[in-house]
Amino acid sequence: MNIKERKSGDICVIGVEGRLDTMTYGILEKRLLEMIGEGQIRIVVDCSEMEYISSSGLRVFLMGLKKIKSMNGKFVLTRLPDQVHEIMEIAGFTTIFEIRKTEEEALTVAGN
Amino acid sequence: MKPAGNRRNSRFHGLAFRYGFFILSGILVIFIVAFTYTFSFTYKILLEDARQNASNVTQLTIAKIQHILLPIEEVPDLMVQKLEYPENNTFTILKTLREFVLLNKEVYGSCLAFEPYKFDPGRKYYAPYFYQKGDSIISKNLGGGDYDYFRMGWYSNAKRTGKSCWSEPYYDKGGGDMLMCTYSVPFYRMEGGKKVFTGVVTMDISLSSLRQIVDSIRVYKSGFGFLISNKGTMITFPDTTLINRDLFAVSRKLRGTNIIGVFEDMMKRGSGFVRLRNIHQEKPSWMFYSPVASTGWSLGLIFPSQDLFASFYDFSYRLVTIFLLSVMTMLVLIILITRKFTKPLTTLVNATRLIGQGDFRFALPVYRSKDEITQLANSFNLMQEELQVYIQNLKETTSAKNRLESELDVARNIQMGMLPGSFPQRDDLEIAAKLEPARIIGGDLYDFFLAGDDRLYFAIGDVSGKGVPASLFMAITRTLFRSRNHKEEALNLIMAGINRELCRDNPNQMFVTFIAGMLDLKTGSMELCNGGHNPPLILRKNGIIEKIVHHGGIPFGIYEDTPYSTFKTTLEEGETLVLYTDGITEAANIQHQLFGEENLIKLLSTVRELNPGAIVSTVFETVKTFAGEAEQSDDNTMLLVKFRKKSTVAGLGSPSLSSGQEIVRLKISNRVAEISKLVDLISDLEKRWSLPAAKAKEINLALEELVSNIIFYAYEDEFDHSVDIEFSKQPGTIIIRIEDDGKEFNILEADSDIDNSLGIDERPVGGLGIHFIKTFMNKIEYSREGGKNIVVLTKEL
Repeated sequence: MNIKERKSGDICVIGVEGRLDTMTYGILEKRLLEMIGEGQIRIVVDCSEMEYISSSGLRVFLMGLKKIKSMNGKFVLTRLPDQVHEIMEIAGFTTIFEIRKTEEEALTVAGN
Repeated sequence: MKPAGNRRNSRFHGLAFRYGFFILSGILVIFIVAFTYTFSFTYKILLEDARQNASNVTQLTIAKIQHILLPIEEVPDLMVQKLEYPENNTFTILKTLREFVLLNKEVYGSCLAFEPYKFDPGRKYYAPYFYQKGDSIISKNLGGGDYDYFRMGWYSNAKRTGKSCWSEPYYDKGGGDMLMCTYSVPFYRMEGGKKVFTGVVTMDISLSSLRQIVDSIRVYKSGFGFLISNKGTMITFPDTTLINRDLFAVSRKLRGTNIIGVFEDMMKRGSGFVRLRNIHQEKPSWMFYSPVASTGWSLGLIFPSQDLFASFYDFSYRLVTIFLLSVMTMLVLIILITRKFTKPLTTLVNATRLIGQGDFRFALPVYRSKDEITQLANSFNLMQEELQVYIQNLKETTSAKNRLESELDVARNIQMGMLPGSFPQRDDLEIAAKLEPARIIGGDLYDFFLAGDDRLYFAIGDVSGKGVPASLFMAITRTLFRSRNHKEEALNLIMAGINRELCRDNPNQMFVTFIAGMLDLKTGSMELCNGGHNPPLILRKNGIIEKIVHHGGIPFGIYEDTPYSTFKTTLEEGETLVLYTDGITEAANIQHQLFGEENLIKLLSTVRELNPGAIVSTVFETVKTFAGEAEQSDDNTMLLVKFRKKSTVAGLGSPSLSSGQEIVRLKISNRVAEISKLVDLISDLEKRWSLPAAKAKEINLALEELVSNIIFYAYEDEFDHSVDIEFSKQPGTIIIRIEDDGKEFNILEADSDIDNSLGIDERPVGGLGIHFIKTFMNKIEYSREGGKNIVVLTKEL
């Protein structure tokens, strides 16, 4: 798994590439906590290059969402592949997360 | 020991006798030295006294003899002076001589002998002689006939020498007809201005009267005197046969060694004091001799030693007698005194003998004095009392020990009863075992039992130490092994559990080496978990004896939280597992050589074809022969498990294989990184088995969730465990079997329903994975067997 970060105003876009699973979730979790610790509370996760997600990955998303919500920030997921989306659905996460099809939409949601 | 003989002996070896003997020996030596000195000193003094005494006696005797002889000599001397003058009347002179003979009994006779024709020119012989006969004096004129007195010694000697002299003894026939000596004095008359020999005046003295004189001298009790002439003729002697014999004849008769020399000295008019061995009556004697002045004779006085030293001998006898009496008295006293002092000892000796025979009733008297023997006696009394108490205690202890030993027998029966007595009679399995305790009860154990139809559990162990504590520990261990839930618990966890229980209450710090194993009778797969025990051996089919060196953990009872790991192998049909305790390999012979593992392996290779029971017997016999006379120092235990053939009974989760079936197995350890192996395998299988990508991803997700769940939650320790995953592809279906030895977790009963109505804050983090599995898999089966969670997932394609 790789993480790519870029800034768009005060929004940080994190690109998660590859498998987000039991073996890799820790990397993302650590990075997210760092950002939030630094006051970065507007985050968009770009999942377009994500090949696979397991419950461990979902837990990281859930953790990020809870932290940022408590700080009145925004945590938005965008460009989910079908497989990942299906899993989010099965897990019932689609109702909890802000999920947008495109990055623009996501940035808009995150910017408000 | 023979008391009678001992007592007789002690009489001569007892203290009393020995003290007496040694003290008296000392006294005896001192006395002998003192006595010898006194004796020799006294002897010298007495000898000098005796010599002085003898000298005095001799002088006195000589004086007596002289006293008698002197007048005999004086009268003729006086007469001679008168006869020199012819005017003096010869008859007056004769009258005087006659009166003298009459008055002097000692004098036998007297003669006045004239030269031929001197008295009367007409008479050749004129020699008037007076001699005694009875009480009267007879006068006789000598000469004429055959008696020519001029030739007689008494006459011729005086005439020749011109001196008065005593004749040698002779037998006189002229007048006396007896032995006599004659004193002759020559007289002269002036004729023509010349002194002319005219005649001789004689005095005869008979030897018998001389002898009476000498014999009248009493020298002590049995001493005597004798006279010899200056020519060596014996004049007087108590033995009359020797009188008038010469000295050679005398000395021959007397056989004195030095008598000749003494006689010679006597003839030379010497005097002395000599010791003679044999003279007269053959008694040791001393002799004093001295000349009798005028006569030229010598007087010898014989002093018998016993008379001479009578007082000395008397003194000596008294001394020795007194000494001997005092020695005897002393001996008696010493023995009495020592006996008195050693009487307590004698009593002690008797008491000791009685005590030695087990009789403690003999009471010793109490002594009041404070010497060592009394102290000993009193100590002995104390000892006797203490011995009684001690023996009483010993009796009690012994009976207690006997009781304990019979209880130990019972304990042994119980212990042996714990061991499986009967061996399962099965086609697929053959078990043999034997335990031979070193002491009555030992600390080894073995056990086996079947869990279900197709799992054989077995174990062997060795408790540190022997005897009751070890056997109790062994019993606990074996009970714990039996009481674990073998269906639910993995072997290594069973081991950890037993260890924990044993550690919890182990005040004596005992420990037990232990191997537990499980043989799957369907497949022959076998698990072994070795807690510090001797490595087991497997008699492989190919002839190799494989030693399973795998450290599964430390012995039980040392650390409470210590992990155990399992070794997995497979027994092919006909292969045998050999478990044993170190009593076998460490059996020692009297040279302290050990039987050793190498010997065991060699032995096993020669008997490997036998059945397990025969192998066990052979090994035990061989070890016994090896040890020989040496005492068995440790328990000997062996357990053999022979896998004969695979069981036909099919169990849960082991699908029967059909053609076209392909099975892929993966074993990963309980680390997160290991999941990548699983992911890789699934993507590999996706290609090999042409699985739809979506299905592969679902399988991937379900397995990741399942395996990560196991990795995160199944184990409570920090150690390696393995998860076995088996994929089998069947037409239209993939069956995945996941096996872990983690804690029991029934996935089917896990709460995994997702409540979508819950808000973000209420959402539980767990449960998602199981939800995914249930979502993506078509069938989920769970079972708990042999301490393992077995999950079988079915995914239809």
